[in-house]
Order: sequence, then C-alpha cells, then structure tokens
Amino acid sequence: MNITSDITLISLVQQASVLVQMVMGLLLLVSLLSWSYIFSKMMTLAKARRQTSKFEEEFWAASDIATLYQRASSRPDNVGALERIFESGYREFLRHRKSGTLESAAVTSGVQRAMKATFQREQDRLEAHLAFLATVGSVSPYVGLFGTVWGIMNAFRGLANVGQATLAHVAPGIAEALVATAMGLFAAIPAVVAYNRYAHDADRLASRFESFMEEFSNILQRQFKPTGR
Amino acid sequence: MASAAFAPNRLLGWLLSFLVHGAFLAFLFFGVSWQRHQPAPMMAEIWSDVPKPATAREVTAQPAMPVTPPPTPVPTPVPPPPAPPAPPAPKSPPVAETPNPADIALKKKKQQKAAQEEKKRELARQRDKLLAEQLRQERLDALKEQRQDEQRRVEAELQRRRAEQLAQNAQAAQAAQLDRYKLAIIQKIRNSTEVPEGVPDGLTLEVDITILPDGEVLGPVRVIKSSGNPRYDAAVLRGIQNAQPLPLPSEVSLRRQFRTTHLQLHHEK
Repeated sequence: MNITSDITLISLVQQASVLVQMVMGLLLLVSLLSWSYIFSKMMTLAKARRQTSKFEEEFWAASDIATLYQRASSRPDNVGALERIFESGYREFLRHRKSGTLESAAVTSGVQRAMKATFQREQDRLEAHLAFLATVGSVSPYVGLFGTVWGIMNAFRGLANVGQATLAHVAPGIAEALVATAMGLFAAIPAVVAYNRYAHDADRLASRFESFMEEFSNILQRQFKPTGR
Repeated sequence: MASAAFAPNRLLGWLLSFLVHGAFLAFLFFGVSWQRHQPAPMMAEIWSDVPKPATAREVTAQPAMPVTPPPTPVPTPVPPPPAPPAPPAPKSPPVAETPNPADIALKKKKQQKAAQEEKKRELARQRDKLLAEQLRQERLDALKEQRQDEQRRVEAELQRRRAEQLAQNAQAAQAAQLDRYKLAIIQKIRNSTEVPEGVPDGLTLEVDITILPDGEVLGPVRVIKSSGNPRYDAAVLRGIQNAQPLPLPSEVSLRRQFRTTHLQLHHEK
C-alpha cells in the first residue's frame, strides 16, 4: 500500500518513457480536438434544428410562397439549411416557368434534382467532422493501450536486472503506463457518445429535410398546373 | 458562406474544449488525493475526576486575585517625592531681611549658590522621581505579565479539559457502537441456535471467536468459560457456525475491532 504513496500525477507523466510521453501528448491533442468538435458540432446542430423548425412554421403559415423565396434569396448568409433547399427548388421552378416548359413531369423532376443537390450539400455539412469523432472513439483506446504495453514492457525489462523482484519494482512503471490507457479512454468515451448522438441528430434533420422536399415538390406541381393550362 | 457561419462555432468549440480539459485536470490535481493516508490511531487519556475540581477552583480564584494588586503599587511610590522640596523653603526668607549694600554682592553670590543648590536638588528630585516612576512601571509590568501567565494557564487548562471531554465522548460513542454491533452478533447467533429441551435457564457461555472481514468465523471457537451444560455449549457452537456470516459494521476502523471478539451468551427462555 505504501508503495504508491509518493506517486502524483505530475511525477507519473514525467517519469514515463519518451514513447509513452509521446503517446500521452498525442492523446491529449486528439482529446482537445475532439472536444472542440463536440462543442462546435453541438452548437451547429442546435442552430440547424432551430432554423429548420422556424422555417417549417413560416412555410406552412405563409400564404404566398413567392415572398418567402424573395426573403430567402435576399439574405443568403442568414438562412438555415431547409430554407436553402427551398430556395434552390423554387429557383429551379421559376426558371422552368420562365423558359415556358409546359410539361409537369419535367418541371417536377428538375425541381427535385435541384433540391436533392442542395440537400446533399447540407447533409454533408451537418455530418462534417463526425467521422473524426468516430475515429477518435475507436482508435484512441488502442493508442493508449499501445503506450501502456510499451511502458509495462519497460518496467519488466528493468526488473530483469534486479535479483530479488518485488511488486515495488514494477508498480510505479505500471502505474505510469496505465496513465496512457486512462487518457485514451478519456478521449474516446466522450467522442463515442458525441458521435452517436450527433449522427442520430443529423439523421433526424435529414429525414425532416427529405419529407419537406417531397411535400414542397407536391405543392409546386399543383401550382404548375393552373399556369400550364 | 458556409465558412462564415461555422467560424465562430469552431472558435467557441476550441475555447470550451480547453475549458473542459482545464477543469478535468484541476479536478485531478485538487479533487483526487493521490496519497493514501492511514488514519492515525486516536490516543486518549482518561481522567476520572482529578483535573476537574482543581481547574474549577483555579478558574474562580484567578479573577479575584489579579484585581486587588494593581491599586497597591500606585500609592507606595508617591510619598518619596514630597520629602526633598521641604528643606530649601525656610532658608531663603532670612537672607532677604539684611538690607546692607556691602552685603549685596555676597547676598547675590549666596543667592546664586542657593539657586544652584536648588537646581541641583531639583535635578536630584527629578532623578528620584524618574527612578520611582521606572520602578513603578517595572513592578506594573511584572504584575501584568504574571496575570497574563495565569490567564494563559487557565486557558490551557480549559482547552485540555475540553479535549479530554471530546475524547471521552468519542470513546463513549465508539464503545456504544461496538456494543450495538456486538448485540447484533449475539442476536443473530441466538436466532440460529436451537437450544435443546431440558436445558435450564440462566446458563452463560463465554467464547472467543475470530471473525473475518466478510463475517465468516475463522477456525474453531474457543470456549473461555463453559456454561456447565455440555448440551447447551454444543448447541451454541453449532449456532455460531450456522449464523455465518455474522453482521459486522461497515466502517473499517470499527470492523477491525471485531477481529477477535469476546461473546457472552446467556440462555433464558
């Protein structure tokens, strides 16, 4: 019990071998980066959700779609993902109307393609950096384990020169090495949790976008008919 | 467009990330104690009744004693100063009665001499006064120091008494807890003991048992004092084996005291 009494966190890190220290540094860096993504992603997704709800409300309450479109195209920096999808679809629809295309199916499929393209761009943005979080979550425990194995190997190698081996000879080395595993887990756990959470959030948003796209193309098709007649 | 919307979030994300790591490190440094301390054994001197009356008398006596001394030193040094000024007063009047002009110079000389002597005496008196004052001050200081010493002693005494009281209380509490757990053990043994028919009331069996931390009884039970009835003894020993695991306190420090336990098992219907 008294063997561990003089171990502090700083000495654990300082006395570790260079490779273990490198592993620790790498894990700290990765952890910092993944936490920064966790926070920025959290804010981005929350903002996207807020904007989507707001736009859906506006869209279903609005009597005139043209004014919505004008507003969306007038301030392109400040609109949400769903609004951008709507804008691209409606722009395509206007173009068709201007060029005098009369065929309903052609217009609808054109509008849908335009919206699909924007949707994919938006989805890509929502899911950006999620792959990084997934990688951190799955790899950093192994990196930490690597540091630990290396540290324990060193601890046992040092034991070879000692005639009478006791636990006191290896315990500090093993404790040092285990810090690397602890750091790996510290980096991995939040990353895994955040990845699962954000992937789910992004999926839900994407399905909302998709259902909106379907509904909006229906509306446009209905609008097209009277003008085409 | 996209980068403009993302930049502030990234910055804030980094900031919060550093904050989280800083907080976690701070927790590791200050929240977790990396040293393992064995709780030091508590030492307590048990005084039955010796210090209490003594300190009580001292406490009541001390305030009375220091109050009376301070006035006495003040009057004693005052009398000495009035004595020296008396002699020079009567000398000057006879000198003033002679109107002889020839004597004027002499008279003047005499007067000067008198004045000088007067001055000397005045100086002497002042010296005396200063000395007296100094003496008085010293005596006062000594008294004050004495009083402070006494006060300090009284306080120390009080503190010691308080500490003793606390220690006694703690011991009493621990003893009460030990008794409670012991009673629980005896109760459990009694519950699992089947006393055979025909065993008379009022039998007492004393045993020593060694209890492992998980409540198991280690090795054979040592009978310290048999009840005189072998059937009762055997029943109780069987009961002890059946009662395992025995209930033990959850505190480690208390549990250690149960390593070897002396039990008195009393039989009554």
